[in-house]
Amino acid sequence: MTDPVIELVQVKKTYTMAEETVRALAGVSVTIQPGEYVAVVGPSGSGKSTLMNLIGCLDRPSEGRYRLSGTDVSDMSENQLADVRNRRIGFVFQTFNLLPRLTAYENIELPLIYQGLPGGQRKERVNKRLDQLGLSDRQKHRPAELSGGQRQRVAVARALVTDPAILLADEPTGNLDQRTGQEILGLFRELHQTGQTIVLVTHDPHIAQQAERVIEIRDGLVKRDGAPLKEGHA
Amino acid sequence: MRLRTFLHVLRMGASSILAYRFRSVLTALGVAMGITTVLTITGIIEGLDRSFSGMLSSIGTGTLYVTREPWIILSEWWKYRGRPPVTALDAEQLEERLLLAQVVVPFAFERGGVKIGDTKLNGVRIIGTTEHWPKMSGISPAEGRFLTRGEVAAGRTRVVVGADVAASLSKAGLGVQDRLELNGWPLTIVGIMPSRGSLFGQSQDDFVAIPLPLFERMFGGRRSLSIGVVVDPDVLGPAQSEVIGAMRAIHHLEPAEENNFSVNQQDLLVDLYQALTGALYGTALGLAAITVLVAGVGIMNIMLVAVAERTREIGIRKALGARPSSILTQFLGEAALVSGLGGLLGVVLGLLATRGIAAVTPLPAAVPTSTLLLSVLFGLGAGLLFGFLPAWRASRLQPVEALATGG
Repeated sequence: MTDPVIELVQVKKTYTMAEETVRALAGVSVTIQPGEYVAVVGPSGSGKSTLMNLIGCLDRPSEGRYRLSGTDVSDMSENQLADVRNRRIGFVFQTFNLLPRLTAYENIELPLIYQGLPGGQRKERVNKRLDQLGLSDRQKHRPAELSGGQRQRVAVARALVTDPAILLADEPTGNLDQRTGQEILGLFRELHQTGQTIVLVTHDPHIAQQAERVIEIRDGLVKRDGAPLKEGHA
Repeated sequence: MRLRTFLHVLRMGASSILAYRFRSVLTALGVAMGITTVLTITGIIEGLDRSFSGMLSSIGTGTLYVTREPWIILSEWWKYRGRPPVTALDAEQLEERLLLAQVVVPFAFERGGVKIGDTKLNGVRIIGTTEHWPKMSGISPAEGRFLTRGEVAAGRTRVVVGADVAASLSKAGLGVQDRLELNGWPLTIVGIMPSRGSLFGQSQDDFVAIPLPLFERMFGGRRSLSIGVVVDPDVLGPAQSEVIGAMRAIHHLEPAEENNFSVNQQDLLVDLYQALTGALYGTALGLAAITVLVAGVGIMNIMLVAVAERTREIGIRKALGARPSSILTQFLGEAALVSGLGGLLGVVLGLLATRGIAAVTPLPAAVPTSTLLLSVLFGLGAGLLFGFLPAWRASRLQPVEALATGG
């Protein structure tokens, strides 16, 4: 049997802010198998952002273990974490987080450059994602010249270009109108059907319903973990 | 770091500079001004060096000069007031006594007017000397001949002219064997000296040479002469002792008495020159240090601003897998590029400044090629040095915090 993609064991995270210790995560254990589509929900301040940062290897847990595809990343050095982020995780942010001075093509290419991939292979991979996301005719445009939906699709292409183990999306529809948001969620469903592991962080229970599993975080703990509740119960 | 990543990161630095053109140009200008200042001073010192070595070669390394007072009087000038003049007789006796001397050349200077046809030249240097003068000065007539022993001994009305005076002669259609008037004395031209160019902006060719006895008749014989003693440069030390001994004997000095004459040589000037330019070099170094510091603070400031403004960009890059070293290289590269460009600009401005000085002043100011290269490297180095702290900060930013920053 293959290792779980994400295996969090009693993970705690505390922050020290001006003599005050804030416990953001009070002991979270979560296991996510390859190919799962998981939504992490919770109100602001619940600890879901902290959980997302830990899953994305942007931060290290204060206590507990985190195994990513069987590799313990809890005590990795900064360089190792950078490489894990580069190869294993594809981020999609609420605010797109594209580099404004780079074209769509260059934005998508960036993770491959940090990977040190030769030009020919980069081109091949970037073009594949441009095609997949219907962005081929926009590749020379800079973010400011793209619509919100196009920007988020560029961000998704950038997240997928390294074939990551996890697509980690933080409120991906938060800055999009209803229709464009649905478009992006549709895209995620398609990706899920091709076997992509997706972790979607959101405060919106309607969006969380898109996933096949919902993890609800409250006060730094997992309050509920299971299939999405039916519409109307939320 | 991989080369591909390195190249990309440098390209990103360059594109940031283009994106923040105005700010980058200002920062580069700071560096440029520093480099320009230093290069200009270096150019001036180089020009002084060139003039000075020209002067030294005209003085000759193998010549001792016997005079009444030393060339350079830095203190106790009153000590020299009671000294007897150095005379032609001293020169004759020196010639008899000295074994190490190749030639002994008494000479004196005055300024006077030369009349060629209808043209009058004022302030021409008149040298009264002997037939040996060419051996001391190292130049021989380009046309005709120098004064002969007989002409000198008899004080005949013969003259050898420098290239500047010769130019006026040829304008008047005159040459060797023709006549000119020197302070009203009609003299026959026997030779024309080749051009030696100018030194510290003064022509070295604006002179006439006449027999020393004739000179003394024109200007009076009570003046103190200089006596050049040409020796083999290898025996300069012993020769100097010999000259001092001989002069003491000639002046009948008791063992306890101090010398009442001075023996000068090139070294004295070299010492003085080095003392003067040493101070100048020190000033230049101090100025360089200050300008570099100012430019460096400018670089650091602008890079700190750049890092602060682009914190989010740094966060994004880190999320995408940029290692701290990639971020460090990106910002260091940016700083080095800006200040390197400043260095380049400074070199261009510095070159223009030294060219300008060389064009409008007599100083042959110039900047050696090695200094130019060094300046550009220096600019790069300043960028790396002062850009390091901001770049280091950027590379150490925590991804979570950087991503949470607005902008």
